Amino acid sequence: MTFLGILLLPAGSIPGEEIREEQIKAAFLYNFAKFIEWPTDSFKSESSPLGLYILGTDHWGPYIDVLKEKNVKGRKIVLRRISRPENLEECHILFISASERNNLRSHLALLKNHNILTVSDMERFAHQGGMIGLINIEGKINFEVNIETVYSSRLKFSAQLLKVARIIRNG
Amino acid sequence: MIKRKKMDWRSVLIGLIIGSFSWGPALAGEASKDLTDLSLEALMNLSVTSVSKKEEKVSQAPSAVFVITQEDIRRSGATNVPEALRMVPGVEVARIDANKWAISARGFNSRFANKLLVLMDGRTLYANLFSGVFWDVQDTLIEDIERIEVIRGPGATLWGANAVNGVINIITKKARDVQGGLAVAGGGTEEKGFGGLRYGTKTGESSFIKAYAKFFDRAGSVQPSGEKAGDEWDLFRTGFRFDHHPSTLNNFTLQGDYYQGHTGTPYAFPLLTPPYVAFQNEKTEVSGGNILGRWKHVYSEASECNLQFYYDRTQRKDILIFEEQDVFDFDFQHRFRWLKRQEIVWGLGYRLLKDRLRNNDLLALYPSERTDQLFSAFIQDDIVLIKDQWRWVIGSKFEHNDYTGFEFQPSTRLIYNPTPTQTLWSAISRSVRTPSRVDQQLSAHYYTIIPGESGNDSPFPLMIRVVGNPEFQSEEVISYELGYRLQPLSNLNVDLTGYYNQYDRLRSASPGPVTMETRPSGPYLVSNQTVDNEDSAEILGLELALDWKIADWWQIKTAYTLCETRYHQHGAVAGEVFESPAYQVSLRSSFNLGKTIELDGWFRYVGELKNLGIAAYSDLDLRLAWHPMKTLELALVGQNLLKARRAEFYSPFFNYQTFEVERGFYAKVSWKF
Repeated sequence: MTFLGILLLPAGSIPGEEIREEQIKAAFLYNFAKFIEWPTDSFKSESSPLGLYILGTDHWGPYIDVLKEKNVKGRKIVLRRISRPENLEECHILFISASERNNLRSHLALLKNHNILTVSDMERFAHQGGMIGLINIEGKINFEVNIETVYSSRLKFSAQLLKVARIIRNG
Repeated sequence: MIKRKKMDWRSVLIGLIIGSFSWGPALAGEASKDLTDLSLEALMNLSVTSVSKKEEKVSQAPSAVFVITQEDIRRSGATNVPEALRMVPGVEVARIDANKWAISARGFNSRFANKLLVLMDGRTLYANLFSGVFWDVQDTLIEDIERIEVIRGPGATLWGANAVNGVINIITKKARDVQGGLAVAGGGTEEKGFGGLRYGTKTGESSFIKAYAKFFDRAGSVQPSGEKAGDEWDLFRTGFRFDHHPSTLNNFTLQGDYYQGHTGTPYAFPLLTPPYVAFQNEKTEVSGGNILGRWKHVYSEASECNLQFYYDRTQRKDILIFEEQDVFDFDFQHRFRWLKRQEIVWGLGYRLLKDRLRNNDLLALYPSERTDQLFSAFIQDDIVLIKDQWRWVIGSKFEHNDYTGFEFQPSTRLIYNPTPTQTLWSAISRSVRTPSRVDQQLSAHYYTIIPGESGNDSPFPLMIRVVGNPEFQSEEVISYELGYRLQPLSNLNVDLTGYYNQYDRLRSASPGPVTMETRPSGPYLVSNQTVDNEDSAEILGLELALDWKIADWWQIKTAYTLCETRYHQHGAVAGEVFESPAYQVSLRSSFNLGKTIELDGWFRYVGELKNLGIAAYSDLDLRLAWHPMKTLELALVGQNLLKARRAEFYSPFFNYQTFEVERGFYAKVSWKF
């Protein structure tokens, strides 16, 4: 009985009240950029941009584009879509699409010493060693942080971020 | 704080229709919406309204679906579920007296309407006695309802028996969505006094709880003479819900309710001695409670399952009906994607029903105690024939009940989307209404024909006794439906459904020979009217829902219903009088004056009920609300304003008269804290 309950949402619900999952997730990515510090040597200069790369099939639609106009701590956000985890010198945030699920293990192994923030909305991403997993709980977006992966990198997560995160440790 | 630009309505709907994988250019305008200024906490509290794979189907539902939102209820001024259902096309709502309703979909309306399945949060609101709903005890804190989904037409494939003409699913809010407090209070001429309190809080990192209590006291209706009917109504209700989501893969819910109250019932009891009838106003004592647990487990994006259990107890006690019912229900469902283009849902269910009655001279069931078991299984396959264009949904429910054994209820549905803003669907289904206790085991002294009156030329009173029939079979319907949904303008939604239903083996009653019986009061004659399956019917109908958002501050929602019944009476006497109006209109207008004032109007027209002797009527409700603060609402509501009083229905169940609904006014305060 509950299945159909999920299926049937008001088709004519009030306009203006609709928020897509992707919009919220994009806003999360922006917040991560704000509350995480990268080691200075991962940027070429004081003003060089912050690279946000999307790996795999892009499900973002137009919603990720709002980030293109944004600045984080004086750095412009540069958005790039890639199909293989290569040429990551200017990548700071790597969003790994669910389509990469089967290659996740090798991707994560490859990224180990890169100081790149890995984010995904695939199932159990943080449990499998990713840094931040975006999860949908009953229609609300929360995030899990694998604290061990984070500590083994040189990224600094602010306390403000960790306070609201669900903390995950490796198995 | 939230910077949300007004969004183009069409782009949202297109988004809903296309789903999350194919992005049309129409969506581009929407992308400008920016949530990046929000804090992490605020982001975590936003609710996603249109997202995932499950909801791609929303606007493409291959059936006649109507959703009443909390906003619809609030702005209608309705104080209970039955009144809110009046806005649904294809649904007939008639108030019999202050606390009794006749509610049905697509025909056959009666106090004991038995072709509509009603659920609250997955729990069947079902009286085993007559396979219908006692509406006087179906309630919750009205502000706690998230939405009411109404599906007209056979929903049998997934829901099982008795979803013959429709399914109503009342869904309450999750604990997480009602954090903080809410207090409501009000009163008026008909709604003499009501109050409610709800509080929701976080109990752990990922668990939430809410609890509520409410009470109301309602004035009775009047007889045509203007005298009080004696049907006052009061009810106290309390409940809770606990939600725990330890991870994105698991969700646990535990919820329960308890209620008790009094529903006034004016009875007319037939006697075998002069004056042959006794009028008696009873205060029916009603009480009940339920507890429900649910576990939802997600295996992967493409597969999830649900496990649900509930226990429900109801009691109803007055001089005529003394009934206790216990229901244990267990339900399992599994949904998964198969071969890329198919999605399969299957499930198993088990229900144990126990009821106990106290028989009397007028109303008896043999045996007076009974335990029934119901086993059910269903499977449905949703097949994409051509991506984004053609879909085929086929399935069936299989059921075994203790009255008629196996029942088979298949349906086939075809959906076509010629463009993203249009959906055409058609369906053929078979559905059954399985026998209830009453059909097979009733013995009721319905009325007495006085000596010398027409139909009785003997010197003795003639008792008309309705007798159940152990051979009574399921009633059956074959239903043909055709639906069309479109959005001709970005601010206009149209939903049109036509149907043709063929009913067979409908309940009828055949008179037996007149015999003589005797009691201490003297001898009398008896004519047994034995229930059987001799009648048939055809119903042809058309339903139209039209939502027009004229401006940001003005929205009009209309519903038109045509329901043409051709009843073929083969049995000598029709068992119970079922009747629905041939024509109905509902027109709602919601007006915002500035940011703080709301003005709502609701006009209704309901056609006549010839057999019941009820005239057609028009009526109007008005609501004026003021929000001096975001957390405070003050509302004034006037209901049934066009006439001082009028009748909507007549139920002949131990009753000889109609009762009239009166014009009413009430004021209400809601405060969130």
